[in-house]
Amino acid sequence: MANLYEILTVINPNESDEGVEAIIGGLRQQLTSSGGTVLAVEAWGRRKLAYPIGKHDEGHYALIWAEGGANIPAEFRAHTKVRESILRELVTRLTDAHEADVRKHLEERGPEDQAVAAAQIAAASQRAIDKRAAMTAAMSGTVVPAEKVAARVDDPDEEEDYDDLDEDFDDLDEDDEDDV
Amino acid sequence: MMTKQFRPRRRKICRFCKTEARYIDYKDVETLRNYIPDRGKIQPRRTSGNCSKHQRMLTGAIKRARVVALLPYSTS
Repeated sequence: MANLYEILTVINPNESDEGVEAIIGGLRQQLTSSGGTVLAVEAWGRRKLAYPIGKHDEGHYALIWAEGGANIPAEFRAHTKVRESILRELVTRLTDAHEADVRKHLEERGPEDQAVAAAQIAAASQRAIDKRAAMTAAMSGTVVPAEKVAARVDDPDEEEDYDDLDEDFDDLDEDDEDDV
Repeated sequence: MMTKQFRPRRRKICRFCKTEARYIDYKDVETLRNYIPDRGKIQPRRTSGNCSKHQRMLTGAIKRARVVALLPYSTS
């Protein structure tokens, strides 16, 4: 049986409105990919935090109601934890009485605006593409020699280099002793 | 000599029982704020007069609200 989950997320205040939309779209994608259905999303907008998180005093709050299996909370958390733009997330399964009220609220609210949802998901996909493009650009550029770094990992001579380093350190240690 | 006069204390009643609350929403910050005095600590049952059931719901709600920075863990 599908559970109803209420998810409250705090998003980095430095994100633009479009950025927030894209992030919400990403969360939608995540929830659907773990077999859930998003019933509604309510953006609370910018709010002051009760205590600073990182260096932020504010955050964009987004409330999501989703239905799905018991795998949803864990998979959702795994998704948000690695995303720095999401400061906090709280996934709760509501008690029966509470759930009844939420369902009533959702019914009064009417079905989700599909156009908005689609736009958010599209924004998320676009953002992912942009990010990948930026990363490839950085890797091919001369400023960040990412290929060199990758090549070094496979380099069999690497250990030798480390040995040299160790020797250098040994020398240093001896010098120190002499000074004392 | 002054004798301290004790007035029988008025029995406190649980405000949630009055409204027959079946759950306490962690997002309802305004209500929760009534139960966190200056320091941001959770008010004990002996001062708030809440019943056991509702106090348990209340502490749960306050702790959830703290996770998402709706309420402070402590205030200096």
